[in-house]
Amino acid sequence: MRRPHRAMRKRDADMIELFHVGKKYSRESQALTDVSLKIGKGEFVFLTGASGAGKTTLLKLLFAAEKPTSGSILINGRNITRLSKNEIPLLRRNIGVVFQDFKLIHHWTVFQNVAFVLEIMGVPRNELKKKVWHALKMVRLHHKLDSYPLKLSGGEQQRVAIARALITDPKILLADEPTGNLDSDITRDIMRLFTEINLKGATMLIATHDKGLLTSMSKRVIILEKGRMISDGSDESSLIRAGRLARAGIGGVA
Amino acid sequence: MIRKVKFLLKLAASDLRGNAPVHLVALAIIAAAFLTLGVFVLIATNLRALASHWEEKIEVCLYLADGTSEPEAQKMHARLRALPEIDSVEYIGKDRALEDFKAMLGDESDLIEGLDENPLPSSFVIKLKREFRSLDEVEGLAGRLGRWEGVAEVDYGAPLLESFSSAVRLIQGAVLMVGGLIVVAVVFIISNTVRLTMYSRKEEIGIMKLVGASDAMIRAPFLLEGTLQGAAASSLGVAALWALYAAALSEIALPGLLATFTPRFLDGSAMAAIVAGGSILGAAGSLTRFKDFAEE
Repeated sequence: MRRPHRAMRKRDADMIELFHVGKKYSRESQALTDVSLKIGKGEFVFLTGASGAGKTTLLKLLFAAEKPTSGSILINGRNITRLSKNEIPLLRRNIGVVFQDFKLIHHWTVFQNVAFVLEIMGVPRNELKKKVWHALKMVRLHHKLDSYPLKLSGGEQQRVAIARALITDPKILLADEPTGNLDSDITRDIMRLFTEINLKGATMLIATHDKGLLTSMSKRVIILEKGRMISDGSDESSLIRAGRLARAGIGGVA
Repeated sequence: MIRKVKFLLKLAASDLRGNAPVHLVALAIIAAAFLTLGVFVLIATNLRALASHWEEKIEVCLYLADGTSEPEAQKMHARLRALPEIDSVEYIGKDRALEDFKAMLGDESDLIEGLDENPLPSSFVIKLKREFRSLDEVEGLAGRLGRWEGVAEVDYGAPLLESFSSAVRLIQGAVLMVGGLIVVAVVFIISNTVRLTMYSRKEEIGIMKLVGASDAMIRAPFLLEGTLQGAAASSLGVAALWALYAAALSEIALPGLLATFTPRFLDGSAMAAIVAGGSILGAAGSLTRFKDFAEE
């Protein structure tokens, strides 16, 4: 009864679908157990849980950095668990990923970092320049084209990473603790940016254990605990949500 | 496509700059390896050249038995000239032999002043036609001439030539062995250098893969670097060898026996082969270590 609008949605409207997905790294460590979920096109979803709950593993499965041990994963209707080695780069060019540690290449300028994917795709120079400029304009860093990442603040570095993730106009943006290293003002700034990107049509899946974010933004929240999905809700009151989060071990970072 | 290649070239160049010390050390070591190989090849080449140089100059000396008369010697001269192997024959009578000997002794010629009788035999100095100037041919001819009547002895420098030929064979074997060792060493050094630079760029490679770079695109700059490094190091090795050769040529005077021989440098095709080999080894070395990074 919780999400009637989702029940009515057609299957092809789902961007991300997981069916009984399990991931074992070794015999002892079961990172994910029987996770099934659907995320619709253009949805904005938070993924949370205590550290070690499987957030990062789930994201890694989505951009094919890991393969599930069981179950299947569809991205835009396509099963990505059977991708060949050569197809993985193509998948990744259609999924933007943002990390807690930004993952920028330090001896490259902002421009080079953002332009990289277009360079390896062989995009003509003029088009490439235009696209990089627009992506950086979106994150309001178009005046820092020639700066090196380490000369920028943490928030600016993350915005460069977001611009890089956006450069191919991906349908999905994944973020793994994107604000984990940033203070609350900048966190709000990044979240505004994510909302903006979402409004332009991208499906967002953002892993975070920042309780302030989860309670202040009324978005769907998927909670993982020890590799299992224990809650998936979007319309609960912030009080109930806070209780759920507390039980899942999410402290108040904010 | 051209854009992509240009971009990969830029990546390779930027890595070479970024890891310059590692690459320079590797370059020096590999160049030294090629220099060592070059020294051996050069020695082998020159010994082979020297062997054929000596074979070129091969002469057979036919000493006549004491008491051979002048007409008998004339007859023998005619018979020699008729042989198919022989290019020219010079007769050296007893008197001439003595004069030559005196001239050779120079200031010490008074040593033989007191002799009552000329002890030197008359002889024929035989030059062979070009196609017969080899150790085997000379041995055969000398054996036949030695059985002629009135011939006391046949001399053609056999022991020297024989031991020299076997020395050349030995050194050619050594060149092969050293060459094999150097091939292994160069692949090892280049693959280690590439691994070092890959480790130093491990994070960067991971990031590139995360945003959608294929293995081939990550591998291409390293392959390029390895090939370039092999080519540069082998060229450097050959250049150093040339410098060594030029210095040796001007500094060292060859002893008497070798005075007529000018040591030569590697010819164009040998140098091209060394540089081509270096490039191929560089490419091979850069490919061997990639597997560690393929899975991420």
